[in-house]
Amino acid sequence: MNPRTEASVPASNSSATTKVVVATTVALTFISVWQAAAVVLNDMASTMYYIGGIAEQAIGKSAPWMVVAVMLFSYLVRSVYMESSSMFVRGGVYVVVRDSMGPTVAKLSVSALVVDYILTGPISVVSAGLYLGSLLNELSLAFHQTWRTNPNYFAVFFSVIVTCYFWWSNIKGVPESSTKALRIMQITTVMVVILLVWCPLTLVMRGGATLPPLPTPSHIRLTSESLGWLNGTFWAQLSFVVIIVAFGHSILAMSGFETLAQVYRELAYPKLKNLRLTANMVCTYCVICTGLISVFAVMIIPDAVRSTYYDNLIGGLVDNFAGPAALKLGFHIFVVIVGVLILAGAVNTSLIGVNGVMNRVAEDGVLLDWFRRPHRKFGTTYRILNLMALLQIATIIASRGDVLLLGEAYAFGVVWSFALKALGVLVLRYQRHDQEYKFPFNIRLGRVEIPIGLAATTSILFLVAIANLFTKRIATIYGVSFTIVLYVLFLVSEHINAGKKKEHRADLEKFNLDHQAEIGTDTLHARPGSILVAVRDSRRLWHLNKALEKTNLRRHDIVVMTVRQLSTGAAEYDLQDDQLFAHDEQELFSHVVSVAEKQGKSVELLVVPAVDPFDAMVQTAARLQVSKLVVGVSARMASEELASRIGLAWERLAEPRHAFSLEITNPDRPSIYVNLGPHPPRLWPEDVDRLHRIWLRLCAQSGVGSRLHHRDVVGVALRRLERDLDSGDRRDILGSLETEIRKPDET
Amino acid sequence: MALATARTMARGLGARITLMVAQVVPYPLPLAAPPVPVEFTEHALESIASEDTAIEIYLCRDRNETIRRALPPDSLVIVGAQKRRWWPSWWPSCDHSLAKMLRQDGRRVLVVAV
Repeated sequence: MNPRTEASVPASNSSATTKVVVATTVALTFISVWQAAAVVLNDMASTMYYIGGIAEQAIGKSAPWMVVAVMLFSYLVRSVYMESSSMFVRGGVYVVVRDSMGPTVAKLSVSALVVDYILTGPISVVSAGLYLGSLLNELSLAFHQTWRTNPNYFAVFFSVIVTCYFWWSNIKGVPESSTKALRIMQITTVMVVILLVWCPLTLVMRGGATLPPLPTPSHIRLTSESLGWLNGTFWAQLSFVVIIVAFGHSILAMSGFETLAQVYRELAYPKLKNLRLTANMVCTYCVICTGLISVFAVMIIPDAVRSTYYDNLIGGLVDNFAGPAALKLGFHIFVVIVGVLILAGAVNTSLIGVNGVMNRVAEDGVLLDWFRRPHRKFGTTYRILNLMALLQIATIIASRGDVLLLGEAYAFGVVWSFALKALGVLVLRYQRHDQEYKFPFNIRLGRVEIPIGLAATTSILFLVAIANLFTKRIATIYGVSFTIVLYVLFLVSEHINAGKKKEHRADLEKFNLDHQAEIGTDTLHARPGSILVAVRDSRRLWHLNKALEKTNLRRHDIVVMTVRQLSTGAAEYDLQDDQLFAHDEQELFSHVVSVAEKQGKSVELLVVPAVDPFDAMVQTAARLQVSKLVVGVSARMASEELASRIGLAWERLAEPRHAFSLEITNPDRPSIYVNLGPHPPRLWPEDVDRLHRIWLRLCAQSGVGSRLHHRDVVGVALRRLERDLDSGDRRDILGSLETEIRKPDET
Repeated sequence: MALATARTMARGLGARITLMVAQVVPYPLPLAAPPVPVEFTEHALESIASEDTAIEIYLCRDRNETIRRALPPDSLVIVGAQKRRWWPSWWPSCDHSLAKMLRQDGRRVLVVAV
């Protein structure tokens, strides 16, 4: 959420704070595991509509097992994404590859990703069109009509209309609501559950059916088309190659995984655990719906007619169910409605996604600003959208509604972006050591860690990518041509932009600034009792990390403040944005946001201009009625000195003074806690014993009996001490206190 | 229309108007990168808002939830509801659903047809 929040100030008489700046950014709302899984599944689960047919045409009747194998393999790809996300909160393919292997390979990988996005739309919408066209023919037949349509031509017509619709929606910038993702997945789940009940029921009523043959080299039937340039070569005889080629023809079942990297930033605390849960849910859902439904399709649809249902496999499955024809027709209509919802939505996602990727690379200066010019009326980057929509429409028309052809081409982008991402993560294993999660199966030889699991997964992905390069002729020609065109475009753009390069840090967060003259709990979205964390140096944020770890956001909000130090007299003039929130503050808060994002917890950000930072911290704490002020140990003064200065600043507050505790955090030692203002002291155990002994003696001797309490003893002792301080014993008392202060160090 | 109504009411009540815009950023775009830049939306809103109107733009995934969280509990809300040509009037629109939700939260809501 990006609220332009009303905010606050510690009006002060001692420090010249004129106003404060509340900085807000977008990283402040987090989504649940369910919402995240729904978003990813909207992209991933749609493949169940076409993968079974595409894979069987390429490799024969054992295709469903290969689809199941791909879905099981997705658990490994899940681990690649988890390791990458644990290093980059916002790490898509482009960022990971750029940081690990440099800008050239990053440009190649992003080109492959753009090819992936361009083809996601056509394959999804053409598949939806084929389902719809076939259903219309069935309805016409059911109502004894003679009208028939060619499903392929209908699919092209439908696809162009749908693409134009979403292109126009994107030009206008009217987004489809994200909550729809959850609704669509709920409806899809209903459909999947019905399918998973009806399929076994049909098999039971029929008295069983044979499972598809296992995907062994002898069962895999590779046609000359599916062998591509390998046809007739020595390679096609090798069992290992046959398995890899078959796997490559089914790999697009895994498309859509990239969305997992996008949702990671918004996952709630505990982030990594939630990512694992989300990814497991997604993979399991896909094994069940995409994998099992493909298996059931081969078991239920007779071999003789199954080829007629390749473009419409779930429709064919429903047609061959046991049960009344009317019920089957009703469910078939439901299947097609769900299909159109989920598949047509993919066109929208692809346009949004490709627009986002192109804008992201443009921020790095590898795309000409010409492409990013906003639409005069709607403000969207219409040139990128026009170009991508035109490419999608051209692809749809060129495919003539052949979903197999589109599937072949689509696999190119999918597998190369996976392979390059996995390679990037593998390279980073040797460049960085801050992985919070590591792909399993690592062995250590001396000081060197060998990531066997990650290396094996990367190798498989590269083998599949290379196999696809030789077997999918059209995909290779299409994919390589597009990738080269995009790569050259990026290269030329970068060259032109180099001349007018301005200093721009894309890694820094953008903040909205709101200047306020008053500070308060209501205006800062911080409830009384919140935790105030004071920060100054972006490299010393361990105390923020600790505070985030320990704080339960249901009970306490976290406010992160920094003090912009001013010289005396600065308050006489209005300060500009860049004076109050300069590059240093932007960098500091970018780090704060990144730390908070990593923990999946939201924070409120505050800049307080002041002459004295201690006064500013204490006054802000008092105005916000915080329960605790957290600071890091200072490099310039001892913790005791720091606590003392903050305590003295507290004493300067006007009455009534708000009491709160101070935590001084040290990265290596336990925190020091100090209560500011009047508070019951924490006595040393021996002093508690001494107090008790005195109390026992007085009880026995003075005759006051049960009326005397420990507090009375302390009260008398304190009053006598106060009196002695004003007498000639002052020097002795100070000497005793000095000895007392040294005691903790000695003990 | 909603803004004009708000202005008339604000004049009478001596209140301050806040124009709240929940800009939905669809997936897979990062939340910080809306399809329409915030500066563009700001500029467009500034041209219709008067000087005494505060503009708040919220980038979010869920419009209703964002407005619900951002609005102070005792605020008077004016929701501009678009007239629909192709739907029956009794069919609840998303604007009416928002108004209903805010009323359920205890806020005073006025729906103005625009």
